[in-house]
Amino acid sequence: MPATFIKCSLSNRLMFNEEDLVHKISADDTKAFEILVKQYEKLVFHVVTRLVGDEQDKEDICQEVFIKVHKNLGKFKFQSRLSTWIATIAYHTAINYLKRHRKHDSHPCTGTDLDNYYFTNDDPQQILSKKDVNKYVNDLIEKMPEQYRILLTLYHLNEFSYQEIENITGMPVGTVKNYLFRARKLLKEKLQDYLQNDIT
Amino acid sequence: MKLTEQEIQQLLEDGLKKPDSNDKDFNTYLALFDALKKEPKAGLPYYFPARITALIQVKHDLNIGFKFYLLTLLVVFIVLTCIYGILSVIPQQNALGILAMVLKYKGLLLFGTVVFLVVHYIDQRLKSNRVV
Repeated sequence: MPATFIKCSLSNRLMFNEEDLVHKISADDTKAFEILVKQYEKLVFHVVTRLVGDEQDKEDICQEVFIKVHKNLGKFKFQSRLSTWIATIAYHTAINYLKRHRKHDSHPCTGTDLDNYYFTNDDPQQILSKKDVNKYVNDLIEKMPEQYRILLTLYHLNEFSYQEIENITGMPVGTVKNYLFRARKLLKEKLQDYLQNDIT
Repeated sequence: MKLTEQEIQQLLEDGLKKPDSNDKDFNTYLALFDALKKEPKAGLPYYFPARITALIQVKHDLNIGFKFYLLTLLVVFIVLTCIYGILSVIPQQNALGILAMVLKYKGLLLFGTVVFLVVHYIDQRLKSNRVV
């Protein structure tokens, strides 16, 4: 068993020894870096995917994120969890990409007023996907403003706390809670209609 | 007692469940929270970690390559300075003789150094292109 992992007797699962891994990567251990990439590639992909619509660019942006992680790992002083730090880099890299490509951004929710956002009627494509609740919810999330999309992903999928989300996005905890509440309320209303129609 | 939307969301955030299973709002939120936790099927290709690692390795090697060029230039400069220093202190007759011999092969020395550096440069470029 590599020294990077230590066995946790409480949960009987392998725990990730962040400090050991970071020190090895700082000493130019490429195998250690590959372990880090495997550990966090899903996290980075989820964050980037929720913000960036272009399929071709997603992989390039994820690549850019990990190159930045490698370059700046020496500056990481464990003031937060490694996952929070990496998610912050992923978030800001994706946001910078969006700013550079804003004029070409075809997402319908660019510049949306979040306080008054609501779903429009279903399109025929969406009606076809209604057989799958998970797919239906994901399709709805894709239509939402980027702030809602990223907060839903960071909180539910990546399981960050409110404080960690504040550190990643720069949004105050109060705003994060408020946006999450509104986003979930909107999704619930659509889902309720869907479930109602499905039953009848 | 019917819970508000905020209370339902707070309950589910805390990982609690409502005993009354007839509450439509609560059940919808429960289905929603479950769906939000599900990972999307799409992901990065299987070769992504290996590719990033190889890219980092190439950048690292290129960085060493650049330092190597600088070091080579520094060594050449030091050697030339030492030769000049030696020629300055030994008798002029001998110095001229040594200098004449070196100048006789200057083309070969220069050519050899340039070929060595060019081959090294091409090797580094081929390595980086292979990864990309």
